Amino acid sequence: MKFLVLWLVASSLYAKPAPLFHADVLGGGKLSLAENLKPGRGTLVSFWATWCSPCMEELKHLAKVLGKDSKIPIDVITVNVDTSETSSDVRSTARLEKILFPIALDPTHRIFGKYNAEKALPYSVLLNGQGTILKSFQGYQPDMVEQMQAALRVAN
Amino acid sequence: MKTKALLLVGLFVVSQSFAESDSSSALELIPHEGGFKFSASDHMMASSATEGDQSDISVLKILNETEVGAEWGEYVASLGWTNRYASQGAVEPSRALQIEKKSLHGEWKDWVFRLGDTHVEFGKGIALSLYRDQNFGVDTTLEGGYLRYHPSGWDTQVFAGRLNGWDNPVAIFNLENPVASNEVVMAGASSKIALSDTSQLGGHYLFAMRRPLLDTRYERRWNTMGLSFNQEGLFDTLDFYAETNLMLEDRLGDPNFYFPEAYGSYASFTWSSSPWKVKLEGKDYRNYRFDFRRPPTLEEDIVVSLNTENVSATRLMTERRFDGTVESVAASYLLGEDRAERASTALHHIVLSTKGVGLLDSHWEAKVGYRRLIELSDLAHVAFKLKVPTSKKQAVEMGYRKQLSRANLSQPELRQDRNMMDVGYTFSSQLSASLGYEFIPTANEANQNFVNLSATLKMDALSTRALIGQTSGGTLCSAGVCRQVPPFSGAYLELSYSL
Repeated sequence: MKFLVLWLVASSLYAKPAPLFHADVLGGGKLSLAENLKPGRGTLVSFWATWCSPCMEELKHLAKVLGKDSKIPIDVITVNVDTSETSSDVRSTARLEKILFPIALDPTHRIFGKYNAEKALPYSVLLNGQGTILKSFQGYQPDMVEQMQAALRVAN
Repeated sequence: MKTKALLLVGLFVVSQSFAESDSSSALELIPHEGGFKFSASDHMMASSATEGDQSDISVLKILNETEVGAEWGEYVASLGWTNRYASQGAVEPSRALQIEKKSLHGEWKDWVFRLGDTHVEFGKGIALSLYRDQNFGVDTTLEGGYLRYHPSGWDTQVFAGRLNGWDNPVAIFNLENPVASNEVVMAGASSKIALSDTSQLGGHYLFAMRRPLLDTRYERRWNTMGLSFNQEGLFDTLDFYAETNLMLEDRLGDPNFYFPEAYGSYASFTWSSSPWKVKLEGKDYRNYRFDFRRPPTLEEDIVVSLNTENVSATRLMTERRFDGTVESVAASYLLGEDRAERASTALHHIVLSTKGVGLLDSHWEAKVGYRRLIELSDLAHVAFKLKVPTSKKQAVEMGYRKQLSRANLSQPELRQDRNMMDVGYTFSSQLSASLGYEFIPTANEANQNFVNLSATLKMDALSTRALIGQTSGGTLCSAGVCRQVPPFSGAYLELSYSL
């Protein structure tokens, strides 16, 4: 039992390399997570769906804050997880919500399942330039940019 | 000293396992240096609840699902198994070990191959969808070979094998394994070419046969052909998707018997220009009796519809969003014909919904609707949700839902009134708890009140959920699929962990 507890604590504290991926991108082309990682900068991988209101809130907040201050060293990649039932809404939702971040498509949750077994939204993961997970966010958190900056400062 | 050593071993294994996780079964593997890597995940559920007709006997069940994976270069192998312990009185007996899924796959820039278990889907899932849904304990896979070639502008897949269900689902409400008493073999191919940067034309073909496990001969055969077309961003405001399928079903060994031809079509047309969105959808499913599919339902708020075999409908949805916050108002109207209930029954369903941000930065959502199957049944529903932040990362959440339904309009006294409410508190992004209450004053059963208490704890790799009390059952929907589930009375603990 003691071992199990230690194992759980240790593994939750350990910095984990992120599952890397290639994926199709909305509008054509492919996206490689590895190619988007940049030394000295953080990359936020944000999972969302068209029916998830808090996800929209998170993406709008990120666009507003990161768009206003280009000195914040964080790039955003979004991964849409709509299944075939709602997948035809992705482009119109991105247009309406003015989501200008790259949108990788994951209709079968092959990427999402690797990052978040429970598949709960919103879910975002901050990576450093080496692809190590610095922080994960379950649910929209209004102060997530500040939290990300703090995590990057510690990491760098 | 021993504990420290174990901790170090644990850290080493954890680090190795996470380093492995850059392999994802449907993804192209990013080139990396070779080396053997390992991963593992576990999903366990323990429940003590009444089961089946023996409503006074509580059954203890411990269900476990483990998956281990290993990667070497571009190749990934995985193996999944389940364990089941059930005390006396359980409908399903104990099973010490059941191998559920096994696969080996390799992925390169334009190529993917898989041997063993894999999920496959055509288009919108009208003709074929093999998927996993943990809520219903469904995980049907193709056990065989799969090959995909997808250079730029072209995407082709071919596959063949037999279907493999989930024998020991780790779920409270699990559906029956669709291949528990039959063997189903299938082969198929699909291809999609890009006509331009924003449009694709696709086609697919599926062949399937079924054999009762106790029989040596196949008794049923299906041939399905389909076409799809997708156009996105026309004039930067219009998106269009259309798909149509023809399925031919034969009873083998009986040349004089013919099933009617089955058709399954879907189309959507979306116009969106901030802040407005208008979407027109249509579906037409005729005689489409095939278990391995997940077609679009068009239902705004799925509450009663289980029919995806013989139904046609069109839905118009209009939405206006408000910039700056997550606020919107929307209305949808569904007009259809349900051919499952009677010879032909007109279906109307109107839903109005709105969401916004109010006092104290609270977020609210409201939805009201009315659904009527002419001369047969009707249902009125209303729902309201409210989330009020109380401090940083903490919030109180409340929800209420009411459904008034009449299953037979000629007997209006047989009305059902369902009231569901819950109050929850989010203590942090890791911990939340909720109290649920359901009141069904029109229920014939002795129990009209259902109370439950649940809590959720999430850490990076660990997720736990516990529930104690009762739920009333009824229609449960997950990822566009709805099923009737029985009441639950007891307790369960669910734990997921991945390395």
